[in-house]
Amino acid sequence: MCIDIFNNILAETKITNMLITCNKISKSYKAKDKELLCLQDISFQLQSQEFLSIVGPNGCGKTTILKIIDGILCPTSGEIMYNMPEKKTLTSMVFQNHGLFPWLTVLENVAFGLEMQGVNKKERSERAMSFLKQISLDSFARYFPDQLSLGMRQQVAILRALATDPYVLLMDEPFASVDAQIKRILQARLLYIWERYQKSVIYVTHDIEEAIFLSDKILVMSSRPGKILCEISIPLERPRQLSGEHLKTIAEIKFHIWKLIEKEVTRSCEI
Amino acid sequence: MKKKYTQKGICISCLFVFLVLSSWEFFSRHGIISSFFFPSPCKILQTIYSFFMDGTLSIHLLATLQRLLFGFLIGCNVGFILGILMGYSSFFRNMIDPFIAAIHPIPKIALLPLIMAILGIGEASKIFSIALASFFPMVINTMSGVMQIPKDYYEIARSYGAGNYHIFLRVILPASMPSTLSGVRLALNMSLVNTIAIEIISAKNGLGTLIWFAWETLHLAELYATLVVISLLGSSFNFLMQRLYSILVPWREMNKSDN
Ligand SMILES: Nc1ncnc2c1ncn2[C@@H]1O[C@H](COP(=O)(O)OP(=O)(O)OP(=O)(O)O)[C@@H](O)[C@H]1O
Ligand SMILES: [Mg+2]
Repeated sequence: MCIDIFNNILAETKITNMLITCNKISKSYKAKDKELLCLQDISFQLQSQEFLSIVGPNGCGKTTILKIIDGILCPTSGEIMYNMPEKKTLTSMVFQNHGLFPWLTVLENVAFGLEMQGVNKKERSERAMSFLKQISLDSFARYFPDQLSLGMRQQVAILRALATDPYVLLMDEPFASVDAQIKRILQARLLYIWERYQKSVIYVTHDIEEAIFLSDKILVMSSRPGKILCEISIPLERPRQLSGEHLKTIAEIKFHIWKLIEKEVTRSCEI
Repeated sequence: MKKKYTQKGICISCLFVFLVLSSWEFFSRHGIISSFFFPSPCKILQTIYSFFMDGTLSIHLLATLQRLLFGFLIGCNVGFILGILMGYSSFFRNMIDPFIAAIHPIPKIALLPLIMAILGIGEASKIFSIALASFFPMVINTMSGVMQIPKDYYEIARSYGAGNYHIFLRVILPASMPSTLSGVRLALNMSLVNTIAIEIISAKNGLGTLIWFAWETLHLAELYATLVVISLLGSSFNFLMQRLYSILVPWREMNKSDN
């Protein structure tokens, strides 16, 4: 009896812990008077402070999911429920290929979200500056994005999203274009940010290993029309190492996921 | 389009210009070339100086500048506003494009008689005609600048909660600025061309009148002097435009200085 009540409470807290619930989301694009089904019956939940990754082949609709969650696109059918206290910014997106505005300085880019929230110029510059200081990019504040290296641009793009203080960070292959060594460093920084600011993250990538290394949960998607093939929890404790026991488990999970999508990938290659 | 000047390059340019001018001076003085058709550079300078001293220059220069700037500002602003609208909304584009396509190929000076017939031969018709000449490069460049903005930037701005005001100020305006400015530069050049042409055809004052007057009286030194002034005027416009570009498009300027 006592345990029952306890379980109930647990169940309830779990429910309120769900930040985002996607319920049977479908999306089709109109392309030359043809309806192209891009996402089909996508259902999943994002818990508070969870690191969720989405992996899938090119064109399966990963970016589309993020845009739907961010509210830039509307789903054709299905619904999303946001369970977060009202605030100016619920979700902020880090776009594929960083998406910084070339005509704004690094500082203005980071402050962009704040400007849209109506923060006055002095305060938003100060806040953006303090963000830049944390990753020692403050000396580049007056530079323009094109004068930065790709890795730096990605970090600035993440700061721009972070500066709006969202509950959920939506990240669309943020490190796809940086080399492997820098990627490691950026991943570590991202995990640090995620823990320090207690954000939830939805992280899109096509690198399975990266997804396993970073996430609590992985959604594996099929090629078009994008469906969720399976949802895999990663039980590894943090901080994760790329050595010893951890590396072995990561390799096992990777093999498991690869088996699941092998057919999909060959199918999408044949098309 | 900023050329890169090396020290050596500047030396060569200066040296060669000096060579040409001094041999012109020499030949003209010694009658090897006709000093009537090719008055010596010193003579031309003298003429400019006397124009300057007796007030002829300021009267005509001011008259030219005044109608040029009036026409330019009107044409530029109307062109800018229409260009933004047409770039942003295909409705406006479809509505206005046929008129632009029809009128743009006509040399604007050919429209002057019609404009004079309607507006009279006073200042209004001249300014309108100059405005018309600067309107077209402006509207076309602004429009194509806005149309070339990748859709992603709108999406990104909206995702951060930008309303129409911020979309205009933070995306449309800066993203189309390089193209808009080349529109302004072309418009300024067109204004100068058309102002001088109009003044040659029908005006009581202005640098164009000065040219025509020099021709009628066959004072070729005065003709050269006026041409030098016009050339200086055009160069200073270009210089101003370059400054404006580096102020308004700093993100492009900085990249250029890197390579
Ligand atoms: N605006 C659009 N209009 C029409 N079709 C679109 C549009 N955007 C995306 N699509 C189509 O929807 C599908 C999914 O696109 P999406 O960008 O979400 O894929 P993705 O999984 O992010 O791919 P990638 O790994 O290459 O980034 C693609 O096949 C694409 O052709
Ligand atoms: Mg994508």
